[in-house]
Amino acid sequence: MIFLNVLNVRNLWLKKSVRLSIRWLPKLFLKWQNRTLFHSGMSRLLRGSVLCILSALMVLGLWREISFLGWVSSDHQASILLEQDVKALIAKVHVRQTENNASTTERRHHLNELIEVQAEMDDLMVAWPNSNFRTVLLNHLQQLSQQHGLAVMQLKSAKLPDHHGYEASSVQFSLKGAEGATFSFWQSVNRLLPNGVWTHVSWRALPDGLFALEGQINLLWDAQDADTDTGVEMKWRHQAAQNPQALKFQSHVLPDHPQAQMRMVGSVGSSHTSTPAASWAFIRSGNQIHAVQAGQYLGLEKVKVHSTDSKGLWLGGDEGQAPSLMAWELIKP
Amino acid sequence: MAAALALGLLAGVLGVYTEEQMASNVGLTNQSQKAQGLAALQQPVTSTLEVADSKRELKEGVERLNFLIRHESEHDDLSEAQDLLRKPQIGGNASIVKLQTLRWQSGRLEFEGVASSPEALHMMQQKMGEFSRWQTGPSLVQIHTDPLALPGTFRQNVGFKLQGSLQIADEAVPLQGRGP
Repeated sequence: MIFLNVLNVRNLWLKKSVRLSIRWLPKLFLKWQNRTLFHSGMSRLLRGSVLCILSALMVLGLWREISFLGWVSSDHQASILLEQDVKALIAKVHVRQTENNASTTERRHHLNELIEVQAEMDDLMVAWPNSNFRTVLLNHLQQLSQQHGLAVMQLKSAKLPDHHGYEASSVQFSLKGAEGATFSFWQSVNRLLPNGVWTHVSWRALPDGLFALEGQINLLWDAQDADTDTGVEMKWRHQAAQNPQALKFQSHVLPDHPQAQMRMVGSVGSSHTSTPAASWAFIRSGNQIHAVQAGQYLGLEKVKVHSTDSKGLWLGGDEGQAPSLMAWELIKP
Repeated sequence: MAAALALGLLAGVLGVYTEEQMASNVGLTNQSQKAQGLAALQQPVTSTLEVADSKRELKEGVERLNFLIRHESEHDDLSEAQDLLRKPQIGGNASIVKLQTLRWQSGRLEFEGVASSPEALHMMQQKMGEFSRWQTGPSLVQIHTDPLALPGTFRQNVGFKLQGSLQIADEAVPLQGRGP
């Protein structure tokens, strides 16, 4: 039905057009032949208007063409180029913002994870002794061994290569005493140093009924905690203890004992400082055990203490004389 | 006709002038937008380098954490195993097993002692078996009658040697699944 209506309308329009053309075209053609077609005022106005519009369009077109070719500077042309630039720039900014948002989100995620990891590490390290404790560690262990009634054969600290950003050191010791005392000492050291891992520890029954305890513990230290309140206080106390006035440095040790009675029974040294003054030797004379260090005078003979090493205690050596060795006390197997 | 032509030219020139004026105004707006866009581009952004840095920091942090976990685990394992081993020696059962040599070396245990009877030795082994984190549980590698070890103390002295091992650092607890 609709299709039929459309066909009818088209037919009607065609018939109308043909009828108008038949009616007007001959007249127009006749006027054209008689040169009177444009003589009317209306036609002249029409012709003038067309010419006016064409000339205006021509000026506009010409201007655009020469500005496009770059012969003249045109704000319009510059505006078109600028608009293209701005569109490209906006697209670039959009891409950049998208990338930036993704990167920021990823980075924030990493940082949050890192904070959690750090918190877990802090929980694990909360029981660690302050890294400044290293400076008094050997003294502390020596006092601990005394409290347990143990004889110190050797107490030695050495620096190890850093592990995962933590400073590392080891403490080696060799002690002798009752079985219960050695185990109690080991437990105390184990509790005192939760930052350590035992690479070696051994108990050995000696013929005299005592036990020899030997061990090495590798320790980790968080060097950053040295600047905390605890660390600063510990360092201050250590420095105060290092003050010669406070220590009442004894220049002559065992002045009434002849050197022949003396034996070296232990040593304490630190590899953190290489100065001889940082190491001590334990000398037994009769029932007495004394700690001596380089620079002190020893025994009835008043011989100056030179240094300590694995062979024993070296004495004298000043004024061109060869130093003499005080050997370690031998432990019967 | 000349007048129409002149009028057309004038209209064309006026059109060009108007168009240029409008373009000038639009240009100012575009300039402003361009400046804003350039400023946005110049703003500091989270570069891929920063992301890579944070990723590396996280990776290092996780490695450190796992290292500390292993370290603490190793410390605790030895402490607990040691407690189990030594408690009978100094506690109420002091007369049952006597230590002669005990050696821990890189997680490996070697224990030599004298037990008052095979039952006492068996009880000690059972006690040690309570510790779950042995890599190789303590096992007897040597056993012999030792009448001379502690004369007058034990009736049926049994000399023994035990060996076992704990997990050592390189093959310790499974690492945490966290990581970039």
